[in-house]
Amino acid sequence: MSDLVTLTIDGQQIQTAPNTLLVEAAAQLGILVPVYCYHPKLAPIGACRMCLVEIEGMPKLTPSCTTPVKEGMVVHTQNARVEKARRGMLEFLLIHHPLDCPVCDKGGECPLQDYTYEFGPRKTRFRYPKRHWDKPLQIGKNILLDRERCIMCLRCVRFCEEISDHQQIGVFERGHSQCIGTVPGHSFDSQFSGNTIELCPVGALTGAPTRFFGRTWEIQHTPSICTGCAAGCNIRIDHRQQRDVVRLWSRENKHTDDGWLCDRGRFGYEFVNQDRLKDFKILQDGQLVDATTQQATVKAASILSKHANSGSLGVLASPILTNEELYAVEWLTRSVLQTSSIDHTASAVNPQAVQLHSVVREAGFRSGVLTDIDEAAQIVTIGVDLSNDQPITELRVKKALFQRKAQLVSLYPETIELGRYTEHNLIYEPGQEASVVASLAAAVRSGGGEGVVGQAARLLSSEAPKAVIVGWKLQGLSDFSALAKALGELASALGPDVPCITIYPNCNTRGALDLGITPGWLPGGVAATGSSESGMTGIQILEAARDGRLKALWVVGAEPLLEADPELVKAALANVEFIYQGWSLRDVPVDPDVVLANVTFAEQAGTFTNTDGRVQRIYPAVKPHGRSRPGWQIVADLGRALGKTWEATSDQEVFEQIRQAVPAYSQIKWSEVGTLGVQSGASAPPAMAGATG
Amino acid sequence: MAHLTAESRQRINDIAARYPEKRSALLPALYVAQEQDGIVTDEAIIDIAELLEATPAYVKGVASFYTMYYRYSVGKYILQVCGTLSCELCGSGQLVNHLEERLGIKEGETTPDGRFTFETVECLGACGGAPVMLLGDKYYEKLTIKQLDAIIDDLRFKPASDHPEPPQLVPFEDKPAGAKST
Amino acid sequence: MISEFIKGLGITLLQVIRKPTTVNYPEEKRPTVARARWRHKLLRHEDGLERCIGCSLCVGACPSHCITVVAADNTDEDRRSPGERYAAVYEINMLRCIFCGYCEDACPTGAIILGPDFELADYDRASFVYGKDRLLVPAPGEIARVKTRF
Repeated sequence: MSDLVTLTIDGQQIQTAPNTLLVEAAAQLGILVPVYCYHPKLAPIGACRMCLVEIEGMPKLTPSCTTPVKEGMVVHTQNARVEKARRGMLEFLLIHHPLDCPVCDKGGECPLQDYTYEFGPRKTRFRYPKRHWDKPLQIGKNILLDRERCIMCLRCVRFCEEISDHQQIGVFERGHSQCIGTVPGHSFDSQFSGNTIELCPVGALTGAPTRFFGRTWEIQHTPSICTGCAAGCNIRIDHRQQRDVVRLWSRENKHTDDGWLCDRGRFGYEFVNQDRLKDFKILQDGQLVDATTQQATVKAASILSKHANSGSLGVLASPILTNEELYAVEWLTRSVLQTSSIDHTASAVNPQAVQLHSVVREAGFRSGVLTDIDEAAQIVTIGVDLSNDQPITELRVKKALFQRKAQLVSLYPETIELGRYTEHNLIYEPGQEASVVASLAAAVRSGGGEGVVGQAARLLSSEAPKAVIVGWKLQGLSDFSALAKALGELASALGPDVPCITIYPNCNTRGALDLGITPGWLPGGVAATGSSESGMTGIQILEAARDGRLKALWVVGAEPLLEADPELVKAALANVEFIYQGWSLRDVPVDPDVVLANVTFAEQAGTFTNTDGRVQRIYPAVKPHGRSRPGWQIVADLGRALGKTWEATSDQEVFEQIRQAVPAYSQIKWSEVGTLGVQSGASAPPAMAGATG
Repeated sequence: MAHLTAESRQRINDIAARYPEKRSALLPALYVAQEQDGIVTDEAIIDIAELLEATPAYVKGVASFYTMYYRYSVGKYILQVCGTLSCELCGSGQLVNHLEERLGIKEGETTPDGRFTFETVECLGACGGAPVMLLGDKYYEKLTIKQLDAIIDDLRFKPASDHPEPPQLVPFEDKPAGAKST
Repeated sequence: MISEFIKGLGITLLQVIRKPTTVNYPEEKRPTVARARWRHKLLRHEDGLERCIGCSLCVGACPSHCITVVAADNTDEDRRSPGERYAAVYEINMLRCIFCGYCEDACPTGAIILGPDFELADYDRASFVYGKDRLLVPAPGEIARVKTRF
């Protein structure tokens, strides 16, 4: 413990690590030092002067957010001198701050309000007209700027500089007229722009889509998981009286999102509020009419039973359903309907590449988790453009590149955004993946070579810790076996224990794979044998439906339909008896014979498995729209109508069944999943204990 | 009055080549832009950002922070009177009042004929000769109202081409031979 | 004993000749006190713009949770109130309201006041939820579209 620093804050002694900032040390003691510009994830800057404290022996007050602790320091954060300074600072900050609180989206959760109430002067002595600007100013697709409210803490500018490196906003002018802004013609359209709304300690930056969402004291918060991509970012659903989702907010989980949220996730919640199915429906005389739950269930069950056992039924289940829903669909399809044509996607996937995470493990990589990127000094991305495929993971890679000077080797058919930070851009012709990876592996083994590949190989042949990221786009390769072989060569060339992270497209694709929502694979990643081996893939199901080889389709969630050619989807759905289970008919081009109203992620409890296999829970935030129900309950009803009883009666019981069926989940205790999730993959139980929480 | 000319681009690239990071050449590059148009235009900011691999917002931040880059049109001659303590004590306030009266404009404004811009600035670093005025790159020290009038008369009544010392704003490099700024 | 009887009857007879304390209610109305807190009104500025800016402070203050406010953006084409924000929806559930007047206290613009109109009876529950159509006073010169009882 000798490397700790001992100091005294407000008469209390504390031992803390060297280089801790005073404001953090005070926080460890539970002493509140008001801050605006300080943020734990941004470099200290000392712009707002709110955190001034008195240090004995120092002639002037010192900003505690830029001062590291020192042995024997005696700090006062609450004496008259400090309080006078705080009052003075707040009076300065409020000189130009408009009295907008009643109409400001930040009102109620605003540190400027809170600290003014706690530390500030009761009235202003400023007798002159306040500065006025045009407002609000739309500086980006999602961001509104109110320069009058800004207190120049520069958190937003620093985020764009240090974290996302999208410097689309800047600080202009100086002194009294200093302001934040954009250059005309270059708007603030960074895909991480929404984070500045959260960072802004006042209402200067507010969300355009969530403008006037309601007041903060009217909304309730429910922890949940973002369904935008497979990163599994933890979010907070903000809703009014359990009715409408009004806003999504980030929720820090260092295993997945690291405290940030991308705009696609943050503002992509409209599907919860809009165009929702409120009732079960059946097709009568060419018209969809509302039906009772029972009528619709019976009709759906009759269609399903007609085609059970005969190979004339296809099932498509969306990869943004919960594990519980997917498992129920899998149960009904394989165990009750004796059908093996079930898939979660309609895009072309090479059967060998379906279980991409297993493929890379067999190639010799260690199953990586996202936090492995934080340890790596060298990162190799293969066939993945993180800024499109998983933005939050891109931020994690950027963090490694900027803060730890990690190095990147990128293999992608085009120039990707991360390519700006590396000279090792291996741009190849589509279809050449296997040969590029193989040549890189060979070059690494020989310790160098010609051209870009050689330079990258020289970099990678050093001893530094590495991480490999592979994307799902590789799953579509027709000669996947060559790539698998090349990956094996790369794994052995890079050395032992190199983690490889697989990036999947949708929020529960990994769960769908683990639960057997794919032909040829049973729950638990067990290769199917016998009759269930011959199931059709998603695209084959649609083609077979179009050609009349399938007589019925059961589609749960519309996502797989969006992945295929719209003409094919239309022809396929029109040609069969079509049962649709989902939350909206917006993406369904053909009127189904039966519509079963499913809830969205915001209305039910359940679990998602993210791209690296972390199982995380969602909680019901809003009430189900109309008579819609969680998918596993609808499936249980269908099972009952077909004469089979689904044993589980609660989401927890469904999860228990999943645990028994999927070995990777067997070590996960429902009670431990909590709000931060648990890493699946029980092959190494001792490592799991460290991964929890 | 718009984008950078090919010549300005060339000069900026030459300056940038002297630094390990291109972005370091930002301040001289802004001077090049200002020399071209008299002010730093938004178009020039975008061009410089592209040349120096920075973002327009960053370049605009720098250009608007420093007071010696003009973002809005200024007169042909910029009279900068020091208003900091030493000069103030030695009577720069009277110079300011006189200039306001003589030119008929307030501090920070430009005469309607576009000939003069007059502004007060912080310490010019010549307190020994207070009060000081800066015109172009020439200091006028221990300035009296009479001298000031003489300077203004000189600039006002002489045609611009006759004036021996037009204000030049190229501090970081020698002026290329033949190039003449306005 | 007889005296008590006469005394009691006397009081009764006195009431007969006295002016009655009740009024013929629907036809005749008793004046309310000056600060009576009954039915709410949403007021306007002199130029006809709504005073309410949709800030929901009344919602925060309301002890019986009977107010719902949903705010929306003022545009130059469709300006309802000064500033950025106006109440697109303003509803008070009069069945829940306890007429405490806290909303009036909380209002930063003096938009909502409780007035003397106490006749709030109605025939079905849904009509006790008063929307802006009934709460907002008519603009100057505007003929109220909906029958109001101001």
